[in-house]
Amino acid sequence: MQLIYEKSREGRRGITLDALDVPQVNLPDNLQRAHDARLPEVSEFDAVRHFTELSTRNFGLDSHFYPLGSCTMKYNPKIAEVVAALPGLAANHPHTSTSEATWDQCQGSFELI
Amino acid sequence: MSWIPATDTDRQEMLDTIGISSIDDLFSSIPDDLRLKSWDIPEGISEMSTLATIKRMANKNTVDTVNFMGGGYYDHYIPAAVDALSSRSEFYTAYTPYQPECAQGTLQSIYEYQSAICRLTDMEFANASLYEGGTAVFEAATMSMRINRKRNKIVCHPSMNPNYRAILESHTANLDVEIVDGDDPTDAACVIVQNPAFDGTIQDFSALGNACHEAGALFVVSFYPISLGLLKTPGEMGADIAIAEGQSIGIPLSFGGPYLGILATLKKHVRKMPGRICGETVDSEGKRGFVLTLQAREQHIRREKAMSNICSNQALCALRALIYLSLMGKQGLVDIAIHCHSKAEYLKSKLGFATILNEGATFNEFSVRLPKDAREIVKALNAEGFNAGIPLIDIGRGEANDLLIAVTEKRTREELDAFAAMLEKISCS
Repeated sequence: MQLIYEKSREGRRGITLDALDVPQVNLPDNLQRAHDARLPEVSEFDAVRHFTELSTRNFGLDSHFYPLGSCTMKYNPKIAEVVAALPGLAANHPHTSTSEATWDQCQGSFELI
Repeated sequence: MSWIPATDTDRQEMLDTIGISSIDDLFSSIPDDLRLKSWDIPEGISEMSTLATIKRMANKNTVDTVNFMGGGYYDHYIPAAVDALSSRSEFYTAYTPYQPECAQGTLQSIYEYQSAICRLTDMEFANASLYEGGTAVFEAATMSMRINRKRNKIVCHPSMNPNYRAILESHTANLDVEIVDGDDPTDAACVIVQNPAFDGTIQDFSALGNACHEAGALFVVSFYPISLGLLKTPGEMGADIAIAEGQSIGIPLSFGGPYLGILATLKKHVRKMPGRICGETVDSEGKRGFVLTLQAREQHIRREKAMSNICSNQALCALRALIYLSLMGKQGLVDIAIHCHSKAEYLKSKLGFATILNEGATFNEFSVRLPKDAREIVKALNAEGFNAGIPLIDIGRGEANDLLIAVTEKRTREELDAFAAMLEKISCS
């Protein structure tokens, strides 16, 4: 199977941003990198096909019997994934706990912990 | 979910199969006086009630404010495909990849992640990941002492996140390590810098990198992955070790974790690198495959000679980072960095009533001195729908009126205008 880098096509993009709605400001040259990072240039669909194919090359607990790993191969109920992704928990910034001024913002996380 | 799905009939069949009469017989080898007499565990609740209970807690958090809080963790957009792909159970229920024939998906994704980190940082080797940014700082420090075996001084540059410095101190509390602040590499195992600094200032640390090498010290650079869409890389500055908190690239804030520790180095140091490494090889039919490699460095092979206690990695978070970097791609990461930087500069231009404290350029985060107590202002702005940032005094830096403000690509011009206006109104009223 090819690496994602081998599927790269110059100029192809997975995500685009809105047009910049403020004036663009450039950094001084001496603070900038010389060349752009050679990250993959793929469409979202390319990425979805790639990582879905990779997933089929794994034995997971949900899909296969796997008698190894005393500590890490216990089944976790699906509700755990659901609650961890609740926006009230997933989007809570850790530094809300740093200042008393923002403790109001993380009372739920404090209670949960 | 029901945690104990077995019926009485199932249990009896199992007991009959192994030839005992009761479950208690399984524990008969444990003396009576060592066995628990009772369990102090409340009655369980249903899945439905569990969800309702945790939803109630989640709703007590305030997360729908316009967010300007950073300090090492940032409110970046996460593309839907990151969640969709990393939520495939073949990834999130897979065991650690000791058996490569069952784990090519995980192993190839780690290999691609390592490559992405090398391309991002201009370093030569990345490990399979560590737990989070603070652990990565500690691991870089101890790696430096393994390379510089006769030195035990770790120099922390003032640019470092105070949280990282605190983690370094607690992790080394029982080791023979001397931690000093400053930038003098004399007799040091390493000097650790951070770019952008905790207060947001960006610098070219190349000269300090050279000074480190002349003094025989390793040069460690802590970076912010998103900023490397634009900023001079650790590799370009001559870093021996590059480390980072990887939360910004595709991992939700989640009140502090799970996160991703990034560590990359040069080829000459790779055998002293902590954690695991995934490498490419060929199978018996000559087909490409991936395996964990150089495992003699790891603690499950030779515990007393291992490079660190790290014997796992954050594979799922590393996968998310890889998917994020693949979707963003070469140009997307540049665009996000331009948005973050330009929007932060725009906000700065609207804060004439306050004093910007950074002496040099900044990327997307900066420190301001306000006309009033920063905590009071943060509280007042929260009531107006803004998470204004971190009062620096609460993290042991600066004065009571100082605030650390971060701007990501998610902020719109309207939000920046409204925030600046409200900040001025509350600060100057």
